[in-house]
Amino acid sequence: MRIIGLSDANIIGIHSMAIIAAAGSDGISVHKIADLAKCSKNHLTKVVEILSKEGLIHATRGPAGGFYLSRTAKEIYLIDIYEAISGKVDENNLCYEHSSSRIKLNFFTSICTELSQKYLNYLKNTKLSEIQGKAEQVLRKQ
Amino acid sequence: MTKILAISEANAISFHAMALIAISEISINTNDIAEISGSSKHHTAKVLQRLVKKGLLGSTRGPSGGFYLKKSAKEIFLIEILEALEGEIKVNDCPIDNPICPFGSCLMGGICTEIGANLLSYLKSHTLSDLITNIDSNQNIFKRIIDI
Repeated sequence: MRIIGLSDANIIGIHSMAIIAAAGSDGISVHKIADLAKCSKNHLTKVVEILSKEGLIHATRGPAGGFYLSRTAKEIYLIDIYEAISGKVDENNLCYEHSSSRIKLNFFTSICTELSQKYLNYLKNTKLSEIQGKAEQVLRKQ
Repeated sequence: MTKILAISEANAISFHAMALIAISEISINTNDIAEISGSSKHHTAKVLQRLVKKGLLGSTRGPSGGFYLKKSAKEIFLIEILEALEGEIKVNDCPIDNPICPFGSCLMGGICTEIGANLLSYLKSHTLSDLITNIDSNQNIFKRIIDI
């Protein structure tokens, strides 16, 4: 199990966006993304709907239809994908805090905050264009 | 507003409950723990039952009954508290749980594995005693119980 970390939806969202970026102007269907990322098609469909609604991707209909990036991969940071799916990150309160508790586990909160900050820095500093290369290699093999 | 790292409500309750029981000088029961930790009584009862079943807590019955640690706080590693609820914890290499990465190597550069491993290492090397180190026992945590 994942002890703590990004949700399945976020991980699927980031992987899907890398594949859509790699597909470029050819576009790519949900079915093919699920096949490449080896993830649940139902879950992926929901995530892709959110990404589309939030304006990161758009779709064309029809037998040859598929998904495309709405901006270039260089203009999309992973934090944009994260926030499209999960909402704005509360940078002042990164870690789970049992807010209604009268007991504050400062020791635990500090390590969780430190690890959260590491994740956040990665998401804020990594562009989609930096991770699409591996997806391009997989697409070329298809 | 969202949290980058989220732990489940049940795990949050178990860490808070274990810490409360460790610092309490008086017998403390489900109602007290639920009230102080701001959790639902029903959910707290289920978590405590699990911690008893896994041998981390003992309980005494009766009007002055409550929960106690089966070992000293220094002997209970934080990983034991997490595993009591979740089973054995392993850090997966793949964030989407694929046995073999479809991209050859992790698209996200292994950041998920790295952070999972960091947390696991922390939980394995720190005890309940560390968790309660910075808790100010004079911060009126037990005020209501003592007043009663």
